[in-house]
Amino acid sequence: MIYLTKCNTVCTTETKLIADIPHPQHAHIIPETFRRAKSGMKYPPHTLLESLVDEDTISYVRDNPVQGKTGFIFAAGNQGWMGNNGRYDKDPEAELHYKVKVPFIVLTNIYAGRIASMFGVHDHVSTDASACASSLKVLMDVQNLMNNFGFDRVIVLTGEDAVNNLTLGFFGEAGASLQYKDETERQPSAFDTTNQGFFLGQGAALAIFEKEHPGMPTPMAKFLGAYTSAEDNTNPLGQRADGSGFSKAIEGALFVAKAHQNEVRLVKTHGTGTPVNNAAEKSALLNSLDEFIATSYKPRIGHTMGASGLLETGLLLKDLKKGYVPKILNRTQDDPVFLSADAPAPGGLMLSLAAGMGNIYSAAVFSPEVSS
Amino acid sequence: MTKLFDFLEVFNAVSAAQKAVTADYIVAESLDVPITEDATNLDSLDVTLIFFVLGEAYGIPGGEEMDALWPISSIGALNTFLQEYKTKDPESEYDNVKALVKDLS
Repeated sequence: MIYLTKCNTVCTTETKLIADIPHPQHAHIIPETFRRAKSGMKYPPHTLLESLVDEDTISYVRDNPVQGKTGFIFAAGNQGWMGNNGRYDKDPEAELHYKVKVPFIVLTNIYAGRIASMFGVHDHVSTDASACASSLKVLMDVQNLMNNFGFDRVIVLTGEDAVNNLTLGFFGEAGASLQYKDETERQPSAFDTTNQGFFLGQGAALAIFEKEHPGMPTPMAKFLGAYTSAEDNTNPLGQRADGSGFSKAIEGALFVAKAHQNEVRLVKTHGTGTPVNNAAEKSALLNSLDEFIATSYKPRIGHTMGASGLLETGLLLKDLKKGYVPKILNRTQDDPVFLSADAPAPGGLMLSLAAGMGNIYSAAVFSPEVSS
Repeated sequence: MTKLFDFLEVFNAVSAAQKAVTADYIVAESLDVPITEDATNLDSLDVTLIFFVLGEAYGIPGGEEMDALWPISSIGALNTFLQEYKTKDPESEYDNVKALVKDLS
C-alpha cells in the first residue's frame, strides 16, 4: 500500500489587479515571492517552492530512512515558462518584473537535483513537463517506482512560474483567464453557465508518498492508482466535448486502483471554468461515475497550472478532515453534484483530475479513509 | 566609523548558506584556502551562486569581462578582487554578517 503522508501547500485566495499589461486581469499573487526579484537576487517561483522545503520536512525525510529506495520528482508543469521567458523585460519598473541572473539554476532539472540533494535523495531524480496535468501525471511515475522498482518513498515537488507576463498574455488573449473588462459580467467559477473562466494563481505543493514504516505519521490518504491518457483530437489546445480524454484517464486510474466506478463518491475536478473544460469534464464524469459530488478549487485560489492537480488534492484532503467538501465559488445555479453549496464529506473514494495543454489528461484515485 | 566585516566570516557564512546541504560545506580556516572542491567541498554551481551573492553585496559590476576576473585561487584573492571593484560596502547596508546572509542567500 502507498500512503500520502505529507502534503505541504502554498497558495492564496487574495487577488491583485495586474493592470500594466495588454490584457489587464486579476491574479492570485503572493507579494513576498517578488521580493528582490527585480535585482535578480531571487527568482519568484523558487522562493515559492522553497517556502515548502522547510526544516521539519527535510528532517522527517533524513531522520526516518526507509528500507527501500527514495526518489524525488519535480513536476514543473509548463517548463518553458520557467526562466527568462515570462519576465517583464520590456518594463523594468513593472510591478512583477524580475531578472534571472543565474540562468542555469532555473533549468528545472538542475533545480530538481539541487532540491533532491537537500533531502539526501540519490536513488532517482526526475522532472516532468506535462503542462497543467504535471503534478497528477507524475503519480503514474510514483506508483511505477514504488510498485515495480523497490522504492519505499517518493517526494514530489510541484510548481512553476504561473503568473508572469507571458502566461497573463497567453491566457488573457485566448479568453481563458478572465479579463478585468469582463468582470462586471462574470466571475471565476466552474460548471456554471453564467460565471466562467479563471484567474491565474501562484501555488506549489510538496508531497511525500511512502510505504508503511515505523516512523511514518498518520497518513493523509491511501494512494490507490493513477493514469494519464490522451484523446483523439488534432487540436492540442482543445478538449473534446464528449470528454474522452478525461474518461480514458478515469478508466485507467480505476483499473490500476482495482476500484469500481460506484466506489468513487467525491471528485476534485480540473475545473478551470472555461466553456470547453466545463463541457468535456462534466460529460466524462457523468458518463464514468455513478453517484458523486464534485468541487473545484480554481475559482478560490486561481489556476496554479502544473501544481494545481496535487495542490488542490492536498487542499481537499485537508477540508475532508474538517468534515466537508467546499462549494464551487460563484455558482449561479443550484447544483447538488457540481457543488453550489458546501457538502458533508461523503465517504468512499476520491478522484482527482487534471488536464494539460498538449492533449494530456490525468486521474488519480485516493482513499481518505486510512484507519484500516 | 563602521567596522568592516571579517571577510573570512562573510565567505564562510555565504558559502554555507548557498550549499544545498549546509553541513556539507568545509569551513575555511584562513584566507589562504583555495576555492576548490577539495578544500571547501564547493562545486561549480555552489561557487557561481556564492559569487552571485557576493557580487550583489559588494556591488560588483556585471559583464563578460568582469565575470572572467573572479578569482578562485584563494579566499584572500577573492577579497582583494572585491575590494578593488566594489561599488558599495555591505557594512553600510547590513548590521552584521547574519543579516547579509539572511537577506541575500
